[in-house]
Amino acid sequence: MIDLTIQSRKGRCGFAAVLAILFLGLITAMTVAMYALATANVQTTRNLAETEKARAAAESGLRWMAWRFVHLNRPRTPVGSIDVSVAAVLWPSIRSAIQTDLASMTTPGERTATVTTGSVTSARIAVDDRPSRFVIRVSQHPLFAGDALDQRFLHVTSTGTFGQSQRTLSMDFQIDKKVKFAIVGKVPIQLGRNTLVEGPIGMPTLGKYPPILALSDFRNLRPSLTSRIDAFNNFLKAHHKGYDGRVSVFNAAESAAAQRAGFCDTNGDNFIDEQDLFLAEFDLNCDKRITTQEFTNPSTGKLYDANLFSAMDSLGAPMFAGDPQRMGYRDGLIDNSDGYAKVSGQEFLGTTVQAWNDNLAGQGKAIGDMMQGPVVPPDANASAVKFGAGSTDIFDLSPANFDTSGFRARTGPQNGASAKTPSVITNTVLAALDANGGTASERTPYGSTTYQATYSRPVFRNITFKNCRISKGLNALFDNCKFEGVTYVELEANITSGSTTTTSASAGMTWSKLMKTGSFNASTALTSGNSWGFARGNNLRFNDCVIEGPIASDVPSAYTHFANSWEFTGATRFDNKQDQTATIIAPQTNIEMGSFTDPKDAPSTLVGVVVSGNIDIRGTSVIDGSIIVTGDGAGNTTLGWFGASDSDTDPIAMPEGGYGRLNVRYNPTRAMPDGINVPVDILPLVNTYREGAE
Amino acid sequence: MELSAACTAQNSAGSKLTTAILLAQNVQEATADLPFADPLFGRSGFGPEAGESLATYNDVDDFDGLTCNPPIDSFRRSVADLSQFTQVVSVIPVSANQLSGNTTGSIAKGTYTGALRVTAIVLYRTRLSEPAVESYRTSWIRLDR
Repeated sequence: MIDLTIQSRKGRCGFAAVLAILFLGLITAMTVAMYALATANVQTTRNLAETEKARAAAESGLRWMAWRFVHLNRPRTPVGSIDVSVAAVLWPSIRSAIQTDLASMTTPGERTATVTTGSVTSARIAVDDRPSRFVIRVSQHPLFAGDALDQRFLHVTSTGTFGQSQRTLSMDFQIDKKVKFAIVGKVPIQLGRNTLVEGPIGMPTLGKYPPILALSDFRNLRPSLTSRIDAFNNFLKAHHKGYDGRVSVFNAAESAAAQRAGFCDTNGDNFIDEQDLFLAEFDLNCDKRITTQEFTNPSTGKLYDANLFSAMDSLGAPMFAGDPQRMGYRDGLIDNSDGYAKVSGQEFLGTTVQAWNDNLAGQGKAIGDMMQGPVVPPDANASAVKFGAGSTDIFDLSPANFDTSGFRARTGPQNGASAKTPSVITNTVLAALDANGGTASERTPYGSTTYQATYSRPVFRNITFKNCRISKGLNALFDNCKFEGVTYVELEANITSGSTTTTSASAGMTWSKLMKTGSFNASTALTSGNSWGFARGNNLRFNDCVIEGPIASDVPSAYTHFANSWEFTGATRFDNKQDQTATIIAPQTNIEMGSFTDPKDAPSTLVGVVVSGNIDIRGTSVIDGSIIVTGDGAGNTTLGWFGASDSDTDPIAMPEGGYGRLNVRYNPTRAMPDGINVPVDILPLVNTYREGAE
Repeated sequence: MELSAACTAQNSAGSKLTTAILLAQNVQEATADLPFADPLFGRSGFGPEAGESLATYNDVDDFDGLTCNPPIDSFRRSVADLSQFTQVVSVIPVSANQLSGNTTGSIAKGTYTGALRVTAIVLYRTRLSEPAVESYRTSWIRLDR
């Protein structure tokens, strides 16, 4: 018998050992690999951690530079439109301003910037007490041949570092110059019924109250709706945080309270506001839109307020020729597509909540009483009202920043040969001898129950003026006249108190009342013979006129109330065919536009900027640009119908013809006129944010 | 076996750090779009205003002193599965001319400087009974407009 076991053992001699060695090697290799992998994992994660910190530093740097662009001493230019050549000229000043700004860093090692012709690079800036650092580099485009961006754009790279990690972020900024406000001024702003604002509002002056007064557009249409509006505003005062005049349906507590009080989001826009009550009142078939039929008063057969309907339906107008109309624009229906808000934009107020409340406490009122209607900021995360707004929010409104000499040069003999016919006067400095309608004695403001003075005026009637200049002390009435080209009004620039130049509005009032003979009385007709204010100023009235170009004036050192005051009454209409950048540039002149008695009169469209010492607009007008009020002497800027007296603040009775309407819309596509000497802006283009330098 | 345990510990540490980084990013993301000052009360206070809770924090400094355990995601929702982690947030004003400053509290909270340094610290503990230890820390700067 053969021992197979022995034979078998002999045949497999050493095989197990080989296997064992093989497995030992394999296990060793796997262990080493596992160790290497684990170590690499930890190293990778640490790298990730450092990279994240480097990215956070770079992100901080980009935000920091955007902030510094707002706060650094940016160069000024009187040029209104920043084009490639203007930007190229500005770049050395911008570069220098950045360098100077960086030199103000507290830590010496962070002050020195590296400057080349095309760029400025900061030192390494520490974010915290750890190794987080960033370096900022600002370059002007174009960065390379074929760069789509030109000299108007700056390229900012922020390179963050932490340890051995580095991350770079970049974003482009644009050199620009824009007003950025629908309405901005030094005196309180009043928005009357049917006055709808699209764009930001600014009122930086402290101590003038209320800084803004906005009336509901929906009160006094029907008693039932008035009650609902009042109840809703009382609800807001009691239960709502904020001053936007609306309750978000996503705010569970406020929304539930509103529903318990009987208010709901009728139009389904996720906010409960006055428009929901308006819709509930008039939308008879519950289709979330109001037709003209539904808004017709059955007892009169007329719309309850045709101007309100039109104002709401006209919101969101095209910005420029060729701009497509929005859905629902002037379609004869009021619905969500119209995007109604009392103010579609942020409000910047210099005062604080506390200071305003303190001012109102004695009257038994609250801020909510002053601000009715929804205020909708463009950014859902932004506050509707920014209190404590300062110079970084609102540009310097000093009249000294306005140079109107460019407009003057486009009038009178400087513009060309003078010519006069009975019906057309061209390139002429107008004098009283040119008047063809005798004289008229009338109070100013015209038709107001609280007039300030009486003027004896030369009357110009049925004349076309082309590029004419109105001489100082003319104080004329222009009736049924047409103004083509540029019109320039001469004023005394040096307003004095005693023998000293003054910027005080109260001294300006004294200056206006200064008499050559006799004593001032509001009922005494002022003439060049008895009044210094008459002889040195220009109180003008334009009645039933057509103004087809910009009207500008000299820039007095102070606001003078009635001595430098222009009124546009009757059916005076602005139809600016000459210069789309500006309609009125009169930094210290009081402007009264529209009728105190009949708001349906004086329909106008004002394009570009409207710069005035103060302005009151009643009637039916569209402002497609910006209203800038530089004077600080008037009681308020009144936009819309507030009654037959300057002191009225809550008109109840609808005047003959309705309340009128004002659509004030900031138009960012319009260039500024030349002559406004404010710093350029350097604005982030957020859609150019990217990781990496290019 | 010890080597295997060491490797597992290494992997675990890497995993914890990765999670901590993400949780710190959640804080940064949760504050990214918030305004610098309270939309209603402006710069009058520092930290959350009366009546505000995490869900209704509406400006950056509301997050000062926030401690989240379980931690939150970028939508401010609790992540219960990561309850071993804790997010601690501090917000302090810093000079825009010295972002790395105010490490000693020389600029009081509530002082308006136009700049805030936000620091997110993520802590970790293996068991509830154990003290939490810092796993990750990062800072970034927020500025007013």
